[in-house]
Formats: sequence, structure tokens, C-alpha cells
Amino acid sequence: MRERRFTIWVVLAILLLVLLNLPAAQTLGVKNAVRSGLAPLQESVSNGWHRLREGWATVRGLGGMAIENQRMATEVARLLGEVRDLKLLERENEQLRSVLGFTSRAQRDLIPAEVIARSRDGWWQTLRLNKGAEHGAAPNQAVISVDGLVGRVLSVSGRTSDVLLLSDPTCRVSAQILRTGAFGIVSGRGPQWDGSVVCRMEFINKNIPVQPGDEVITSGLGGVFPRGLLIGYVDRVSTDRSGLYQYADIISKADLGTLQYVFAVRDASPGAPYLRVQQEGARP
Amino acid sequence: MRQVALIFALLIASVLQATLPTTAWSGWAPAPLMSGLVLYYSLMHRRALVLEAALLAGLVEDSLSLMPLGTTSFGFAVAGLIIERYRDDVMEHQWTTHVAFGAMLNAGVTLFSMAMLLKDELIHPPLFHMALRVIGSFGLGGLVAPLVFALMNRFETTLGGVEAESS
Repeated sequence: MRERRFTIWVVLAILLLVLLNLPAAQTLGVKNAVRSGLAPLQESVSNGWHRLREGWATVRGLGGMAIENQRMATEVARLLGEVRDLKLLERENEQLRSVLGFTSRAQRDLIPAEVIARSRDGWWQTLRLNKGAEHGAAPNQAVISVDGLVGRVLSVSGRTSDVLLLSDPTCRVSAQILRTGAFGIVSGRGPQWDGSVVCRMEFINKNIPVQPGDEVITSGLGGVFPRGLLIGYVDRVSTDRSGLYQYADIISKADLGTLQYVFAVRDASPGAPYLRVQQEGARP
Repeated sequence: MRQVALIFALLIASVLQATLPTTAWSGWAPAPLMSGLVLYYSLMHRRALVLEAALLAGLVEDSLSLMPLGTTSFGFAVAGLIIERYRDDVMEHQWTTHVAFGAMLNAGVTLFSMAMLLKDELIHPPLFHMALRVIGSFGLGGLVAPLVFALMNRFETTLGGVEAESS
């Protein structure tokens, strides 16, 4: 009896040791299988949770709905005007480019996805999406929302993708200040006490003036993030310890804490700012 | 039937744990539903089922995060076996037992996982954040474990897996 028990313990110990030392490819396979298996359940629970929150928000905001409706109508009218202007500019831009002999920039495919889980647990800042390799998602694709850059795809399983958020200190983005063209590297500052998302843009040329409120966009350098995606706005500017560069605290435009729908940018080659949403059910 | 109950509970707990929001005051530690389950099995079932629950709970938890596979399983297994070893010395149906063991189990596993991540240089949090996380895990473990225990006890009693609570 004692011998049998000893054998069981040895087998269990070996099993644990094997599990702890499995090669990355094997562990990824196991993880992907579990993630794909749990994805439908996570999606249902996430949807239910989202509806509950929306319902509660609706109940709380009933009094202010008329004012909100009026404000939205004004906003829609303003945006429609902007879209008309942009269409004109786009046409003009295309004509000028063809006159100058530039090649026409291709449109990018966007994969619409829904957030089914979020891990803002302090160690890592990630989201899980309900679209994976089967839908065309792949590691290192940029992920955006209607407001701007969200992060990049870290890993994919058949039906899910994990996204490393912009707020994670290990997510580094080559960026540019729109007004001055100054380059720098944006990385996350981790979770903040008030739940806000703060990033820092480092290695900005100290001779280029940077002001609070300046728009920060992706530069397209580095090959992961397409050029021209809005990251956020400069909040505060300082000089680094060496005195050679400036750094700026950036407030992210996309509200990473409440995201529900995002898009993975399928074509990651640097270039066109134009985006086209992939039709539901379309395959890569 | 016990196996079915275990799998069902693991599925629900893992999904809820990944969905429930985290807070700054607890160091962004998630609600420890999985460690609550491990505690329940450690106090109520035989050793083989304790190990099975610990290994599966850890496997699912690691799979749903960026944690290296096996880390949490190891932590849960060791903690589960220690609790199982000493459960005859405590009153396993008392909520004070659940609070104390839940807090210690969750803080212990968090500390172990953190040490493993730091060893492999996978995280670089400030010292204050790490301390807050361990304290938060301790507090959340103490809060959540009695709830999970009560729910699981009711669930298994309904299914006929365990005897009804005597206290």
C-alpha cells in the first residue's frame, strides 16, 4: 500500500515538473485549446455583463436623455460636415498624388471583434477578442477602436486573440507628434489609481517644442502599427534625466477600460491611412 | 458525479474570474474564485480529488492569462495538500476557517506566482504594487472563499456528492 502511494506521488511530481518545463510551442497549444473551448462561454457571460451595465446606465441616465439626444444630433451634423470636407480632400489628394506619380495607397482590411474578457490585473494589461486565426487575426496586428489605437495582437488561437493594451509597459509604439512631426517611443505606464490610462512618449528631440494638447499618432516605423492612428493627447512635457531628450505623458484617446468593440488591422505594412471594415463571415 | 460538478464549477469560476472587474485598492488582484474552489476541495474531499481540482484550476487559470503554464497548478497543489493535511485539526464547516484559509491560500499562491514571474523577469512592478497585490489577495481570499465554499457545498449537496453541512 505504501509502495503504491509512493509511486502515485512520484508520477504526480513528474507530471507537474513536465508541465512546468514544457516547451513554449506545446504550452501555447494547450493554452489555445483551453481558450478556444471557453470562448463561447466567455462571450455569453461578457455579453450578459455588458447588457447589465448598459441597462443600469440607461436607468441612471433616463433624466438626461433628451439633452444627450440633442447634443448627439448636433455632433452628428458636425461630423457629417467633416466627412463631406474629408471626401473632397481625399479626392484632391488622390488627384495630386497621381499628378506627382505616387502609387495609389491600398485600403486596409479591418476585422471587427468583440471583447470577451479583459485582464487589467496589474501584471499584464490585455483583452481577449472573439476573433482568432480562423477570422484572419495574427500576432502583431494593430488593434484599434473608433477612438484610436488600442494595442497589438499578442497571440491567437483558432477563435480568440489576446491583445496587449497600449497601457502595458511592454507595449512600445513608434509615434509622432502630429503638429511638429517629432518622433518618439510611446509605452504604457501600467494601471493608475483612478483607472485612467497614461502612456509616456520618450526620446523626443529636445529642440522641438511640444505642448499639452498636441495630438500623438503612430509613425508607421517599426512595421507593426500603420501610420496615422491616433494614440492620444499630450498631457505634460518634461526633460529626461540626461537632459538630451524630452518626454511627454500621453492621455490615451481610446478608453481602454470600457472597450466593447474593436478592430484588428489585417494589413500591417506601413503606408495607407485608409481603412475598410471586413464583412462579417468573410475569410482571409 | 463529483467529476462533473468539479468541471462545471471550474468552467463557471474561470469565466467569472476573468469577467469580474478588479480594483486599485486590492492591487488589481482578480476575485479569487478558483482558489476558493481549491480550498473547498481541500477541506471536503479526498486527496486525489484535491490534486485533480488544483491541477485543473491552475491549468485553466494559467491558460486564460499570460502566466507560464503549470505555475498556478503547482501553487494550488502544494497549498491544497497542506490544507488537506491539517483539515482534521480545524472545523471545516466554520466560516472563520474559510476566511483564514482562503486568505492564506490566495496570498500564498499570489506570492509564489509573483516570485516565479520575477525570477523569469516577466514582470517588473514597483515594490509598492507587489506589496499591495499580496495584501489585496489576502483580503479578497478571505472575502470570497466563504462564499465559494457555501455555494459549492449547496451545489454538491443538491447533487448528492457530499453530506449536508452539519453546523
